[in-house]
Amino acid sequence: MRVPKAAPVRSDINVTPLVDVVLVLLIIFMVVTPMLQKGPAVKLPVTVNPPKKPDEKNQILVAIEDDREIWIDKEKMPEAAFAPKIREAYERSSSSTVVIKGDARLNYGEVKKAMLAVKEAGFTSVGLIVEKRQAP
Amino acid sequence: MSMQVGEGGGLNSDINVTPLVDVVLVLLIIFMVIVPLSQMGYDIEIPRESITTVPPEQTEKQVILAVSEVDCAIAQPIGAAGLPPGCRVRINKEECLATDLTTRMGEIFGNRKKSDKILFLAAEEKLNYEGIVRILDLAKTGAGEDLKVGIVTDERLATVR
Repeated sequence: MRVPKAAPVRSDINVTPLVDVVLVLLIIFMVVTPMLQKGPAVKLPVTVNPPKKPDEKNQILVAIEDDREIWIDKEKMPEAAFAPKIREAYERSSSSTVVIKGDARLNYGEVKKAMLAVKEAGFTSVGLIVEKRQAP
Repeated sequence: MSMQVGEGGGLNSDINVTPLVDVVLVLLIIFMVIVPLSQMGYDIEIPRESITTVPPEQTEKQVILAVSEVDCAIAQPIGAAGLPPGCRVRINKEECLATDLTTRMGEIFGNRKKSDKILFLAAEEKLNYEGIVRILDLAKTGAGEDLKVGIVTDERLATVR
């Protein structure tokens, strides 16, 4: 029986599976990244070198939107309802840390008002969440 | 009845590294994506009482950073342009260009004990939030990450000269 002549040996790395995996990942992250921001999508202020503010387990996220609607974690409320709600949150877990995600277009006064309400509730410290400016 | 074993192409005793490489690359990419997304921000202390008057014996240590619209016009959203040129702030009533703020903060807080590194921020309420945070960033860059920042409740301290 005549053995067919084998094709010449190819010593190249087969990159096809690699490319497959990378492409799949690329697509997964393209889909997931916009969802990673917690709470509503606010346009965060951008600064040059913000310190890291590790996301703690029992952190209370306060987000203030451009239209002055305030969110506590996943609950949306008008400005007036914020103070009693945050007091309630303090009573529930006084050891939590509070972080504020304020929209960059807000006035300082709006954010300050929220910070003071957080203080009135009993918390002693609050974090202001920002975005790091990507190197040009 | 014996089954004929095929040639087998020679026994291959190498470890198959392809799945390993797959997993490692996946992890690498996951971490590359996650790290810049980690949450960043500034801690603000909110004292129990508002600071309305500065006790005389504390005036030397206490540092109040005042931002007013007259000195720094950031009443509109500043966007990508950043702080306007010529933006000034006042450190204990002493005028300072925002561009010099980092150096000035380094001078003031450079050799202070950690417990004395407290900056009080007094800003006019109508100013843009992002502008204030940018100024805060400059101050924190100069003074170091252990700088504590407190907010002054009384808005009038922002415009006092």
